[in-house]
Amino acid sequence: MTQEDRFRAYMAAFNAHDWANLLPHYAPDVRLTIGNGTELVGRDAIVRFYSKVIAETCRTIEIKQCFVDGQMLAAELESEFLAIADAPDFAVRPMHKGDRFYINSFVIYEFEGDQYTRIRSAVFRHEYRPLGQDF
Amino acid sequence: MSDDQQGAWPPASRREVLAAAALVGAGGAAAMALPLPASASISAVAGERAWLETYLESFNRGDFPGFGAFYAPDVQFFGQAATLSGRDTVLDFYRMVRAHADETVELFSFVGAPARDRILAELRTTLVARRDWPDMPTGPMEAGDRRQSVNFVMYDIVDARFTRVRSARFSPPRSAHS
Repeated sequence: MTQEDRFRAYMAAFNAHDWANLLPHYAPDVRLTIGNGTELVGRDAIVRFYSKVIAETCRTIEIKQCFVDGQMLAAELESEFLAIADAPDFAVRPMHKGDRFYINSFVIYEFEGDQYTRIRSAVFRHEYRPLGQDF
Repeated sequence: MSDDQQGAWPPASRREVLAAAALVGAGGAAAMALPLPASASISAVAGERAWLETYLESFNRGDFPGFGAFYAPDVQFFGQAATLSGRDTVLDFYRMVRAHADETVELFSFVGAPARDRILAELRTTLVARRDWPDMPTGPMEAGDRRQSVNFVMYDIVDARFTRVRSARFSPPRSAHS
């Protein structure tokens, strides 16, 4: 399996909330910095953070492109969060049920073997799409 | 470029342009990819790390013909606060930035696509105001002030020139609340 194939499998597990297949992709001491600068250290921190996210929103991630160079993978991702409940403390901004938040981001994944050791995301574009508005 | 010339800047407003400079920032330097400078002998292969480093070195020297050669004539340049189109427009934009501040870019991480048609670079931009810059979009700067940012910049490359440059601000990590 190539690193690109592994990355696609990782994202498929992420979209499916398939923790059993997702977590082995992370090194035990993985450091993940999301777009707003929040840094999650370790698998447990990632599970805690995203358990809250998926309790409030339905998130889908699409891989626009990815490529590998040495021990790093670059990815351009498009994510959409659909609030399935009011989420006043959502990581990006407060959301009401039915609102959507779109993010286009560039992400650098550093890996050793088959595990990601550091993941850093930078937001290129984002857009808040309140319920009832067409985009 | 003089201040008077800056007033003729094509984009909607001077503020937008300055915002692009500041937000694309050093990333903008990165954002301006270098087609091989006519004045330099470049042995690096387009799309490889050494090639990008040549571009950044030219940018840091303020070698406009040098780093300008890395841009396609119709390059699309996307900053955080403005979008610029065309090599000449991008170069004018950077001349205006240089009139206000010294800008240098450091390459932290490089990820190049195997086909050498895309690069994702992590760049740190440092701006040092050469003079007071009260309308600097991210906040006023006084002469001598220093400001840094880190950006992830995606370059699309065709025929050894940047056709599209997109800069995303990377936020410094902070611990999550448990």
